[in-house]
Amino acid sequence: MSKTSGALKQAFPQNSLLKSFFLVLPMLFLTAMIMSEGGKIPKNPLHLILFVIVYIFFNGMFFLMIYTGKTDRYRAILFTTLAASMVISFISNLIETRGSMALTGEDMISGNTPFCHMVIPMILIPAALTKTIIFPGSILEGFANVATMFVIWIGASLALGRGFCSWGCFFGGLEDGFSRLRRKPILKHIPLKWSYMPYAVLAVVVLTSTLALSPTYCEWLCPFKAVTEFVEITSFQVLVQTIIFVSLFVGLVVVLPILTKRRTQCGLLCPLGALQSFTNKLNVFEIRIDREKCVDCMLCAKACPTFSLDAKSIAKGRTRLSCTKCGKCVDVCPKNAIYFHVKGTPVGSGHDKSRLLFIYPALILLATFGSGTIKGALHRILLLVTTGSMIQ
Amino acid sequence: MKGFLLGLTSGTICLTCCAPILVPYLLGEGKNVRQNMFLLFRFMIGRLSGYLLFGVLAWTVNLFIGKGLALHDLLFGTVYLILAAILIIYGFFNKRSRCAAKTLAGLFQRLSSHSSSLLPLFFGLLTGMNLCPPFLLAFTEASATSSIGGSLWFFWNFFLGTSLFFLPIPFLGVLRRFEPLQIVGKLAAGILGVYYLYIGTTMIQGGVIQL
Amino acid sequence: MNRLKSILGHTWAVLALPIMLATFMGLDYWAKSLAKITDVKISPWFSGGEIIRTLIRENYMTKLHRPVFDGLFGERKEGFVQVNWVSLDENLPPVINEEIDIDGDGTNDFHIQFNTLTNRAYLTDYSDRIIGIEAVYNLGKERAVRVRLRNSSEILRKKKG
Repeated sequence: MSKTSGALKQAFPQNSLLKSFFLVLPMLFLTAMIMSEGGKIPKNPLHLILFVIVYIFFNGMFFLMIYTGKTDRYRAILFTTLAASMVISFISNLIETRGSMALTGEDMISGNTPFCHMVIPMILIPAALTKTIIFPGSILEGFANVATMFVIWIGASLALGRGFCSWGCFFGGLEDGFSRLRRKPILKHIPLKWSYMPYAVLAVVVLTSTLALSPTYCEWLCPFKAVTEFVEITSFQVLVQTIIFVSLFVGLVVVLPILTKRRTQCGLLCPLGALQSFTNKLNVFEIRIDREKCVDCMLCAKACPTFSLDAKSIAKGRTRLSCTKCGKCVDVCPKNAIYFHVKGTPVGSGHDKSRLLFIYPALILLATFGSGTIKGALHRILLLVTTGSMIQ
Repeated sequence: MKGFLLGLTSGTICLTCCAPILVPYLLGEGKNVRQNMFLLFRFMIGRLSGYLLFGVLAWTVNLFIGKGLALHDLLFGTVYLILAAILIIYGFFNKRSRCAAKTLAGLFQRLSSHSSSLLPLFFGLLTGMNLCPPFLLAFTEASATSSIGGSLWFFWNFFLGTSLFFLPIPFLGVLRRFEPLQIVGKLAAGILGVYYLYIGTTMIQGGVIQL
Repeated sequence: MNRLKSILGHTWAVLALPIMLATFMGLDYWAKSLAKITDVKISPWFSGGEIIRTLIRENYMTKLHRPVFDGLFGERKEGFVQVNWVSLDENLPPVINEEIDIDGDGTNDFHIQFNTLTNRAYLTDYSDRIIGIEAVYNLGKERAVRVRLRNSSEILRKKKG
């Protein structure tokens, strides 16, 4: 191998076309099974077309991940599409079934509120102490019931740790998308102290939810109520809560990600993200830095969307606990010094294998969450184009 | 005896109301177990002062029955606002930095330089005055006593009963080696300050309307 | 030792994919098992609590839930009781009048007059446990009302004191 092609191989650690195809083959089969829910190919021509489009989309992006060796840019396309699709599908569905995005008292006492994974940190201690779930949903019935979402969260945490935040959470994709609108950040420096805010928020919401037996983060802070559902404004307190969540959405999900090119809600507020960080301690996958190759250019720290790299952690050859394994630092590093690693295995070797072992279950999570949602959103968009309304 | 028993039965509730203030503060300070005991002691002195002050208020409140509710909201609202201000400054701003500029003089600067002794006292005093739900019951019990001494005695016993539940808290000191916990503790205190800012504002608004 | 760690690490990493697949493919099963093992219920503050009495009327049913005072440790000083009316045929009658005995001691605690057309409820309390109406709910063929209560143990304690 010549020096030039060796350098190219170093700079772009890609696989050959044939090798990439064989590596993607199992995913083709798995996504077909998952998306068809065990082999049920849609008979309706429109649904079949949507199925094929989404199938090609997911596997196409996965193929490019394998072929180019780049993780983050293709992950982000899928992730942002998932988030945008979720917003379109969810809001349309609410308006179709309820007539509005507002959550009424009737919905709450009937147990019709879909369980959101963001509630998880708040319900754990009350559930342990009182054997009740402090959420107006349903344990086993209906769409997004408590037990189902819990199982998904447990499975994803076991398999991916905080990778859930970059490969599963359908809210994070909104910020991921907004953070990529500008080429360069305007606000470059955010004091590292603020990256501990999610843990403080976690402590406060867990404590207050336990005391009040009510999910206080959902009531007072969750910015994603702006794109899902929110309590009907019937009192001054609810009005204040509405102003807070709308402000947080505009500030932390839209404006700051555009200005900083970071996922500011995930990195500076999200209490579930803080809880997920602890699952990184148990998870087998991690991001490591080869100190011999690293030239301390800090490009990775500047690129990291969740403030998971700083001078201290880079010096140790590791990310901070908050790493969501999005792969951006791996892609951005000019010296290929950063890599996916399996704990317990020798450092400095088997990078490709470790990355593959990670992105396989990660993409399964993304595909399972995303395929139905994206199909639903495409269907809504088609409805809009053909009938002028997303609502049937 | 009644006050002590009421304190014992409500101690967990008092603890869960005071813990959101006390726990982040102790974590934020990052002291060891022994130092935390001294901090807790100062916090409890502040709490006791609040309780005894309330004992006096409880006895005198029957003089203001007509305006009792409005005064209650105004008083508690003000207490919450002061607590909020202290928590926000402590949580989000570096209280330990000595201000070199001589423009900021007076009480605040003096308080800041002595804040390590005064803060737990303030926290204790302010939480002692308003947060425990059984406190209101104790308030009504004490206000029915015939003398100010009876009211003070009632609140002293109530304080003793609730204090037993605070004894394990200094053992948070074993966590002080984890520096991020100090930052998290302070930020958590600041967040709670914002919450009490809202509560205090709405209470004062309610009190003003009732006046 | 290093070799063992490497084998364990690789094994766990390889298992991540089957874990992910098993999570989704067996979702129903895992969810039901989790619900059964933990035996958790939705908090009564949201669900209204268990139904303790059902009274069959002419063309509707009255479902009385248990009083809810559940706290983290023990009970709270205040809570509520929820009453549901469910139509047995087409619609509920325009006005429902109901005497409610919360604890089944033979003494009615309050009277509710519910106008199902306007969704307004009027309360007459017979006991010092009753604080007032917390909310009324229109659930289609069903209506519900939550009445705020004082915890009777608190009232007893005050009386004894």
